[in-house]
Order: sequence, then structure tokens, then C-alpha cells
Amino acid sequence: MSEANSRPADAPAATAEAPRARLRPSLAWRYTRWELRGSLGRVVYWVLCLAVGVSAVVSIAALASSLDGAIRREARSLLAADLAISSQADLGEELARAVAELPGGRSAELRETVGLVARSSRTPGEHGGARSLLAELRSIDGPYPFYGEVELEVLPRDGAAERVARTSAELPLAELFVPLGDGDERPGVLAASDLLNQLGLEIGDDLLVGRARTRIAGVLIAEPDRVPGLLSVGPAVLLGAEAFEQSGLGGFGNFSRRKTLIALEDSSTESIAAARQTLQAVIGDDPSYRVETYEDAQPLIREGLEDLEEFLGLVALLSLLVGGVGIAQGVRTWLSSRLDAIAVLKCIGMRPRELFALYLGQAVFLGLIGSVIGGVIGLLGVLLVPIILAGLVPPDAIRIWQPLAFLRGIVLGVGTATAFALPPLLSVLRVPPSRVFRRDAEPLPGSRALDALVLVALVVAVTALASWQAGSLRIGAFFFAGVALTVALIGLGNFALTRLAQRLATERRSFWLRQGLAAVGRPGGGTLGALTALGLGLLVLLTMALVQEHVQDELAADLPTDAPSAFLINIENEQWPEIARILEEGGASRIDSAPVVMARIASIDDRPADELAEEREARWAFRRELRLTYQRELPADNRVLRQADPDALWGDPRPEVSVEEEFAREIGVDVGSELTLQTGGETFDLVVSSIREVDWQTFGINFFLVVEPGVLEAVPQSRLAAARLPDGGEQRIQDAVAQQFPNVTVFRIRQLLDRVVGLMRQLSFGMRVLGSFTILAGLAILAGAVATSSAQRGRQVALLKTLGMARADVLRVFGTEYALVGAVAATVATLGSLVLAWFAITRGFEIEWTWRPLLLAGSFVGAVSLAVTVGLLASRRALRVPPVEILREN
Amino acid sequence: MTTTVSRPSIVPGPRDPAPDQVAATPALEAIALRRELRSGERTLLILDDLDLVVPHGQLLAIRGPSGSGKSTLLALLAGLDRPTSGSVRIDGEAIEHLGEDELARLRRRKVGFVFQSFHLLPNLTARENVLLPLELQGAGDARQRASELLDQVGLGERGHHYPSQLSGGEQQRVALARAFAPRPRRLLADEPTGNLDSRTGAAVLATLIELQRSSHSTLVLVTHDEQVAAAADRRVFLADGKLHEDG
Repeated sequence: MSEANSRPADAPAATAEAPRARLRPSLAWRYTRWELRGSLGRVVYWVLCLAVGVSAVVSIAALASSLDGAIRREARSLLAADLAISSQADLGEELARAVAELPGGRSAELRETVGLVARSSRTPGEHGGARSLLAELRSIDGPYPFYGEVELEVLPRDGAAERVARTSAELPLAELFVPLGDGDERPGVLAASDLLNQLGLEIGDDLLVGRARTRIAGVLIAEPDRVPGLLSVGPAVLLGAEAFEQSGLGGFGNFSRRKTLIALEDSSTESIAAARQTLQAVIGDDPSYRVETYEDAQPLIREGLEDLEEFLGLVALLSLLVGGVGIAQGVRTWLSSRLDAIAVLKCIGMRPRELFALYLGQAVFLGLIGSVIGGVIGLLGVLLVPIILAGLVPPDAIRIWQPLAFLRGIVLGVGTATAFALPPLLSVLRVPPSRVFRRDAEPLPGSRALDALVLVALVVAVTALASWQAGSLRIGAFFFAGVALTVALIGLGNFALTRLAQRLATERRSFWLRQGLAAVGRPGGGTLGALTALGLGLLVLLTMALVQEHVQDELAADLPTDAPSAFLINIENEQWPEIARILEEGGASRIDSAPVVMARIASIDDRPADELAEEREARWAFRRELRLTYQRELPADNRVLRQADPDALWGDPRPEVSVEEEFAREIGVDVGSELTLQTGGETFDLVVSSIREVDWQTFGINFFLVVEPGVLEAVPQSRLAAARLPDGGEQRIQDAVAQQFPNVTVFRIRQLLDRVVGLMRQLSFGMRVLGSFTILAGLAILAGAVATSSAQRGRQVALLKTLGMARADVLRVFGTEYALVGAVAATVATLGSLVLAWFAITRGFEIEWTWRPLLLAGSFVGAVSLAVTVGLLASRRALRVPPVEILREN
Repeated sequence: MTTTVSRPSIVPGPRDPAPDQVAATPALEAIALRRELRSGERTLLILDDLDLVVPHGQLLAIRGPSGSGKSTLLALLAGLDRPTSGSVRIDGEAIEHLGEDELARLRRRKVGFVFQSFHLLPNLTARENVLLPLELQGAGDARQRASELLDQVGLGERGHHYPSQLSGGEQQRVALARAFAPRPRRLLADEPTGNLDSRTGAAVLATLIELQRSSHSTLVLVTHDEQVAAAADRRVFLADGKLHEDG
């Protein structure tokens, strides 16, 4: 104890109290310690209330910061270069020269696309599975990677059957890509092990990549610039530029991208910035080339992470706010047990504002304890993330020590504790000192201005905390409004239901129900906070579950029976009749096809695309090649809204184009506009003669731009086809197409959707874990409310026992009460989440609403049983008290 | 348990005005003091334009049947409650216009309390209870004085005990030590022996009077015990909201 007073005992000033003397911090601290003595229960309660939310906040922040840190740390590897140019087309002479002239610059060219790879019929051995599959192809021309390593497995030279691990540093990829010679002219490729397993292939076997017959030279384990776990269409294949050329998959009409990787001799930040400037100067405003440096490291992923962090951060904040409700309730019970002490302190001359400061200080102190514990748990909790999100988050990306995340948790935790403690703490001011004489002394009049001020402080604090979490004042304000509205509704619901409970507690009900109803309905039962918290938690979780189930089921559902289930791209026009035959013979229905021309918008009404890109909504439309078609009759799912010639679709003597309504709005054209397209080195001036509406939900072949027949027939083009493949026959048809027309790529929608669903399941599981924190906080509050009123409950138990009730009977009374608390919370939460989810599902996702009786019933039963379990556990002490003890006390 | 107070008496602190300096102004004064209480629909008249003058150093006993408003009067005299009308003056200063803050400061300097139900702070030890008002005052010799006072009330060895570990008489003696600790010029005691058996009560009363005499403070004692009242310099009787001189 540091009680030694600094002032000498005999100084005359020592006893003469200055009229403005303040409460000294040392005394405040000492009183805080005195106050906390023997209040372990209260400390535990505060810690529970806050730690749950704070740990959620800290975990999210620490995870985001870990991942961001990992991306930055590995930045060079993640680009595999110092800088890179992404484009659709090749670099062009001038840009290629600029790259070559960069000081000490070396470059490698990557081309990326998706295409079918297949097992060759010449491969020996039986294979009952798929013979072809969609793969992500990447062709490499040059010394890739400049940073990081490609990990692979090859067979050793000595002919042993066991694969050995190698890296691209030990075994340059270019060596793997060259044919073995001695009659084996197949170029080598690296394929992911998934691919080998699915096609039943081994190292050394043939792999048909488009039109190229290649040799599997090794198993691809990892590439430095591919982030594992993210959505991919298929297993990866690395191949040399020559093999890629042979495959024909890089050709016209494919989704192929180019990336020129550049490494500089001097890879300092300045020299990279200078190189970027040089390249950008050559590119000018041309939007089809994008330069990125390693410092931009995966900008899309990082942006996505930021968005996710904001969203999850708010969900975490919600559980913290639920804890805040508990704090408010805890302060109320705490103070109600301190009324006498407060009155005495006022009697012996402590000023109301000093008392207020004293108790506020204690609230802050307890808030700090809870937050620190929560923060530590949160940091440790990050370790669980790679387990929950296996495959998405690599364990070695996680760094436990995240001081900023920890600090964020502390500030949010203490802020929440303080903000929620303030309103109930005001009652300190109103405790009448005359209470020392008369227990029933009226409270002192309060100050309305002060009440209002504290309320404003709460609103501002919560909004500020939310804005900080979301990184936006606007979202913070929306968040606050949403939470306030929800809490108000829950409060209203609780009020209505407790009133109903009072009404229902008539003598006609069973004894237990009556007792329980009376307990819920009685004023100051201490369970209102618990009801609100539990209700809020349940509301969040249930809404998330409802939305997620709807979206997931929608994605997982069978495609509409009249919709195509596969798209075939990159068909050459003359191949179409034969492919159509394969489809028909394979049992496919609704076969449809259309020619595809790739073209750029050059100008609209004589205004160049560059200019338009700056001002029109659909900037992207001016920066890349668009797929369009020509046909005489519009498909059935198209409806013309406006057309120049009311009698004929193509009535104008000039070449015409029909534009989809929304796209027309976004690029700013209407009937009568002049649209100039560029394709195959030619320019076509078209007049917009109609605006159409397209029903995209049919999954049919549709284009934003449909050109009048007779205009584009001569330009380079391919054909796109769609068909509904028979169930179970999809793989067979794909294999047949791959066999005969290796240049064609088949996209199976079902397969792609399944991947999306899988990813979503994992993510939503993580979100549910986080959401359940709010429930946890709610339960902690219920337990706290029950435990803190245990003295009162003890008396109640003693009284009931004295009246002849057995322990089991008391248990039943309590159980009924807690069940009703759970039921009330669940009812309000269910109704609330139905409303929220209905809006999100039908308006946001535009999915048809379906009832989920199992989910709703399950959450209801779950809430009730959790409330009963936690409530009874927390009442153990009250139940154990022998009646005589309580009665003696009275 | 009997208590003999053998230690030297507590010398008034430097800020206490010498008795002759303040002889002209009474320690406590109530002028036409009226207090009504609302009880549901009815308004109860507790104190009816009551007048009272307590000179410095006097030991005044207020008796009266239960519910007669003794405690209310005490609360009003200490500025713990506000009168419906009328005025209370402490050292000649009217207190009804003071705010809660100023009242608290006034009590800190000038008024001590002893309650029937002791009102020790349960989570503070005996010593800490005595220490608290001293520290609040910023007294430099707080620790020493707390020890002296506990010795004086015969509990020097039990300072580390919590109230719940002390008997009623011991608790009340801790309360006495706490009340006298900041050297208040006036002390208000509400049935200080009301919760104690007669022997313990007598001992506590003896300690109280001894402390009052040695510190030359004014003591207003509310009691309905005639024997307690008998020890007072002056006795008044409260009935029907009015005071009557009592023997």
C-alpha cells in the first residue's frame, strides 16, 4: 500500500481543508480497490460481458492485419516480379521496346486462359472416370518466376518410381517444357495433382491440352503468384509458349489474358517507380494495358479483405454492444447494492460529482480488465482461423502479435463499457443522503440536461466506434441507426410480451407456468437486459443463417429445367454441325448457338471511347473487347422496348445494332445514336435502331449488342453454343467434344456453381462462428443477471421451501422462468430476423422466399434450452442456500 | 464490554474556532422548519414550523415517539434533506440555497454522524472506515489519527477487521471513531444505542459523551431511551411536529 502521505503530519495546512479540495487520485484508486474487494463475481461478469465482444473484434482485426501483412511480406513473390503489365492483347512494338530498354530489365511473358485438357486415348491402362476437364492454363515464355519459387515434383533420373520435390530454382521450368527427344517430341507440362487424379494420369503420360499433345513432366505443387484456396475453375497447368501456341487455346474468342513480368537489375522502390513511369508514358491513356508493381501486391484480394474486415468487424462490434447492454445492467445491480454506502459517503462529505467520478473510474477500470482479457483471447483465437477456414487461410500467414488489433480491442472495449455504464451511473447523483435515516427517502431530483447529455454521449460513442470499425462515418451512422431500431423493437416486443405474460398468469394456468409467467412479468426482474442481449444475438445469427441458406440453396438447386447447363466456347463455324450432332446424340436438349465477334467500341456519336470512358457509368465497356453477335431474329427471352421502325427490327438502310436496355443506359445510347465498332482492323458505323430488355435468368445465349446480319460475317469470329446436357451424361459429352475438337472449351455451370457453394459454405461457417459470439455474450448476461440477483433469488427459494416446496419444485419454477425468457427472446428475434432476412433475400438477392420451419424451430428450441441451462447453472448458489439461513438474516 | 477512556482527550484542531469566538452564533439553528411528505394521495405534515437553537458545546437530546419525525429533523439539520419551508443555519449560515455539492463540502468540514444501524461501509475494514473521511478531507496525519481514534474507542487491535467480523457494539464504536475523525464541530447521532443491548449501549454512550466532551463539540442525540436522554445537557420532546422542552 502506498498510503504514505507526502505532506508532513505536523504541517498546519494538513488538517485545514481547502474549500476547493479535489478527490485525490490516490484515494480514488484506494477506494476502487476497496470496492473491488470481495467482488470477484462482478469482475467475472464484466470480463464475460466484454471479453466475448473484444476477443471477436481483436480476432478479426488481427486476422485481417495478419493476412495483409503476409501479402505485403510476400509481395514480390506474389507478383513474382518487380512489376508487370496486364493486358488482353500483346504489348505492341513500342511498349515491347520500352520494356526491353528498361535498365537491366528482364522480362517473361505469361498467358492465362481456361481450356479443356484431356486424357489421350493412347494412354495405356483403364480409366473409368472423366477423360477431360476444365483447367486453368498458364503459358510461360521467359525466366519465370523472378521472385519466389514454383514448387513441383518430378521423377528422378535414375528411374525410381518415387517422386521427388524440386523447386524452379533447382530445375528451371524451361528445361521441363522441352521435348525429351529421341522420338518423343511431346513438349513437357506441369499439372496439379488434382488433374492427375481425376484423369487417372501419371508423370510421363500424354495430356491433351487443346490441340497440343503434351507430356506430363511433373506435378505442380505451388506457384508463388497464385493465392491458394480462392475460387478457381479447375486445376492448374503450366506449359511452355510453344505448347500453348499448338493448343490453339490462346486464340480468338477465348478468355485469355497476358501478363508481362519484369524484373529490374536495381529493384529499389525508386527504380521501380521510374520504370513504371516510363512504361505508363508509352501506354498513355490506353486503358487496355495496366501496370502494377509488387507494392500493389494483389490489390483485388487486399480490397476484398478490407471489405470483409469491415463487415466482420461490425458483426464483432455487435457482440461487443450486446456485452454493453450487459454492462449497463450490471452497473444497475451493482449500484442498487451500494445505495447505502453511497448515502453514507455523501453524509461524510463526498461530493456527488466525486462519487460519480469514483464509480465511473471503476467502470473504466473493470472495462479495461475485461478488454485486456478479451484482447488476449482474441489474439490467441486467430490461431483457430486456419482450422475453421482450412485451405483458405494458410497457417503460416498468421502472426499472433498484432499490437494495433489489440489496441483496437481495448479502445472499443473500454469505450463500450464507459458509454453503457454512464446512463445507469447517473443514479449515483440521485441517491438521497437522507437514506441513512429513512430507507424510503425519495431520490434527489435529476437533471434533464445531464440525462440528455449522457444519452447523446452514448449515441456518439456507439456511432464513433462503429464508424471506426467500418472505416466510414456513413456506415457507422447506418449501423447505429439499425442497431438502435432493432433494440427499440426488441424492447417493445419484450414489453408487449411481458405484459402479455402478466395477463396470462391467471389462476387457470398450471402452477409452474403461473409462477414463471409472474417472474418474467414482474417489474425489475433483472432479465430485461438479458432478453435484449439474447434477442439481439439470436436475431443476428438467425438472419445470417436464413440469408445464407437461401443463397446457398439457390446456388445448389437444380438449374431451371429449360435452362442450358453448359456453354461451349471457341467453336469454329465449320465445326458447329458436327458438335451439334455430338450434343444431340449425347441426349442434350435446347441446343442453341450464335456467332461471336470480339469488337471494341471506337466512338459513340463521334465522341471517342477514351473520352466516354471518363464520363459514362460503364467505364469497362470502353476499355476492353466486347462479345457481340449478329442474328436476324432475336431470341425469345428478348423483348424490344423501343425501335426506330415500328414495322421491322432491321428496317433502316444503314447497318443497325440493337442494344440491351441497361447497357444502353450505362454507355449512354438510345434509339438513333451512332455507334462505331472496331474489329479485325475494320471499323463499322452502326445506328442504334432498337433497345431491348433481356431476361437473363433464362441462362440463354444473350448479348448486349446484336448487329444486323450482313455486316460482320467476314470478320474473324467464333461460335458460342449452349445446351442442356442430360444428367449423368455431361462428362461423356465433354469427353467426346474434347476428343474431336480440342480447341473447344466446355463450361459446365453445375460444376462451377458447386465450387462457389463450397467456398460459400466455408466462409459462412466462419461467419456463423463469429455471429454466435453475440449469443454467447447474451448468455453471459443472462447468467450474470441471474447470479447477481442470487441473494434475492435465495430469499425467494428459502421462502418457497419454507412454504413446503421441494428443491425439484423450485427448480421447475426457475426453469419455467428461464424458458419463458428464452422463448420471449427467441420469439422477438425470430420475428425480427424474418423481416430482415425477407428483405435481404427477396429484395437484395432477388431469390424466392421459402419458409425454413426446421431452422426456425431449431433456433427457438436451442434458445430456450440454452436459456434454461445457463439460467439454472447460474442459480445453483441460490438453490443451495438452506432456508433457515436466509430467514435468520431477515 | 466496558470501555474506559483513559487516553488524553482529542485536542481541537487548528481550524476550530475557539468557543468564545463563536459564542454569539449558535452551532445549529432551525427557523420555522416545515417538512411535508407525500404518501400516495395524502400529504403528511412531519415537522410543523419548528424552531430550535443549539449553542456550541451543548449536548441536546431529542426524544419522541417513533414516527414523530426525529430522524427527519436530524436529516434536515445536516442538510441531507430539504425542508418544505423554513431555514436551517449552521454557524449562522443558511443552507437551504446550497447545492448538493456545497452541502457535501459543508458536511465534510462541519458535521459528523452516528447512525442507529452503524452504516459502516461493508467492504472497508474498520480502520479504512475511519480513514476515509480523513483522507477525503486531505488530512496529513490521517493514518496516525485513525490509529489514535481506534485506540480511543478500544479497538486499536481490530482495525483490520471487516464490519461483518465485529459485534454490534464494536461496529458502533468504529462508527464513533469515524464520526469524530475529521474533528467536526457538531455531531448528529440517530439512536446510536438503538440496535445494541443495554450494557453495550451504555458503554457506547459513555464513549460518545467522552469524545464529545473532550472535543468540545456540539452533539444532537435522537433517542427514545430515557436513560440516554438523562445524560444530556438539555432535553427536548418532539410531538405533532413541534418541539417541547422536556424536563
